[in-house]
Amino acid sequence: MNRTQSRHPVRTLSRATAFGVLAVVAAFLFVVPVVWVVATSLKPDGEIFAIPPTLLPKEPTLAHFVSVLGDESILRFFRNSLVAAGLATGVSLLLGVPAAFGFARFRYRASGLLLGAVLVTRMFPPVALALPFFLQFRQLGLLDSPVGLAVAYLPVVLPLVIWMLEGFFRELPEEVLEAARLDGMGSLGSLLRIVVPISRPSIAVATMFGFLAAWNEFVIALSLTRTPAGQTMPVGIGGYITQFQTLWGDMTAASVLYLAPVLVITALAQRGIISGLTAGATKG
Amino acid sequence: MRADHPAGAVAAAGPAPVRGQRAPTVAGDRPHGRTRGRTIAGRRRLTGIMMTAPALVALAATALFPLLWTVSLSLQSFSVAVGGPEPGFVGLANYGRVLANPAFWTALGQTLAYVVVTLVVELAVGLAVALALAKETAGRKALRVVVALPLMIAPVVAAMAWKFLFSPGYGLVNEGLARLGIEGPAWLADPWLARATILVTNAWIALPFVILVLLAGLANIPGELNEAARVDGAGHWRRLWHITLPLLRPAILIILVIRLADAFRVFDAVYVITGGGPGDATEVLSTFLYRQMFTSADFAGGAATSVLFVVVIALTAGAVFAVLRQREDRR
Repeated sequence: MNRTQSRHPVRTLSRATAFGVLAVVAAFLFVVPVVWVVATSLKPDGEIFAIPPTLLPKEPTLAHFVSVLGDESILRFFRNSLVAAGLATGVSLLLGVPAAFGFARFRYRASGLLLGAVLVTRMFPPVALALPFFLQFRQLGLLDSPVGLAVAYLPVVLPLVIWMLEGFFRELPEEVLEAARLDGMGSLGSLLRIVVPISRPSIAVATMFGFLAAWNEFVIALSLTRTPAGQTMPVGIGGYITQFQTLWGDMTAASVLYLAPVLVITALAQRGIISGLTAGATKG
Repeated sequence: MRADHPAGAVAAAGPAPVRGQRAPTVAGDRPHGRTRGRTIAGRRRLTGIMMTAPALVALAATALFPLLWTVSLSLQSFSVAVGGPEPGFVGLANYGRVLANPAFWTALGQTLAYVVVTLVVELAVGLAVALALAKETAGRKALRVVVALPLMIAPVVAAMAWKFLFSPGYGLVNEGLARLGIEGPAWLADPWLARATILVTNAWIALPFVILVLLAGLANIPGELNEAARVDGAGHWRRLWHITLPLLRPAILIILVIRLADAFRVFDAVYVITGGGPGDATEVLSTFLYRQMFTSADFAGGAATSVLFVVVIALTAGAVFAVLRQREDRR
């Protein structure tokens, strides 16, 4: 034991160095793809395919952004993404907030089982839902429609919202609800006038994660849309890559525009994200 | 030497559905008369049903009904044309057809292998990074933000970026290797290297989640425990094995639950980067199913594959939980 202790300072130092090196390498790997996307969107075409490749643009240009912003179908993709993700998130909140509150605070016989069932839908492979939605939407004329996509996103977004909010609502101090009851508020009144206002940060986090899930969704959108009229940004970007491999400049510029809203929102909610992600991991 | 869990950490370890065992029996706690208590309890139940019903109906319509319909489709012959011949009951013929297709077994085998390898890699790398970032220093705080970056990148964009980075000629990966004097291979032309590319891309996408959950778990471990063990002469690896890992159980469980489901349905990166190729080297169940339905327009077979896919996930998740629960009981 004494020997260990006498050797200790040296070992700590070397271990710290090892960790430091590991951390820097990891940080580099985490950043490079993002830097590459942004950098490529600013490079002229000739430089994108330069050999040897460059990471940062030598002669930055906004040409790709100009071309993308003038591209009718890319603007359509963007609008469709906004409509589909926005609608799916809005409806999920409308249904999910009371449901999470009910599951957390007003138990009934089957509520535990039903909550479990809701959470299990999260494990569903979305591609396994593509066929029934495709056939149904073909009959209803909802293929190639962002509104149809919003409906198909519900089984993705709603369980996520319920899962996160149920955890938050369960942690609310009972006294708050008791006070609302003594003030003569019904359960709906206390939800709208007390619970929602004091849970605004949690609801914001759930909203963000729900929106992100729909905003990034790929396989359902790929299955249920065929033309730019209904396609979303991920389908546009992913589809164009596999078809025309040479449009890297435009595709990265479109990607930057597609990522921008998410980066802004997440930058504003740094703290919330971590607490939202780790909800459940730290309880107790 | 076995470190005991603090009770709370174990309680939080359960899979999500059993999270809330503590029933808020407000009505029961109150010193009201029996009848009054019962009606209040009854009203609370009714409130619960009313509040949860709309969401449950929506999920029944958009998840349960499609699933049941898929099961029914999988038992019928099915024509692609809208006005085609009426579908007819064919029993398990569609399943027989899928199960006789070697491509299905290739996709299934590769999916299972991918799930196992990706979970191991993500947990190992995630743990290493989380341990490196666990102590609160200024530099590490900044690194934590960096590590969370992939979280904000859409999987499709991440896949696009990695596809380019790995491309021979103008890709940065091979350029980096060239600087080290190694001639980089054509990554996507070789089955194993293509698989590695998919693995790296998806690990990059998923690691922030793994790292952040592990960091949150590490933050919950009291420092005195490690300190005491160190004073008792326990080395670094012993402390990791006997103190840190057992106490990280809840965090690791959450990662397993979430990432298992994610890994099974891996699609975006495969579709964008390799399209299942070269040959069928990176074909997984999701891409196989997508191709079957929307390229070959084999809807009946697609329905059968969808059901088999759900069954495989359910069986795997069930087995994992059963094993974990057994371990839990033995403790």
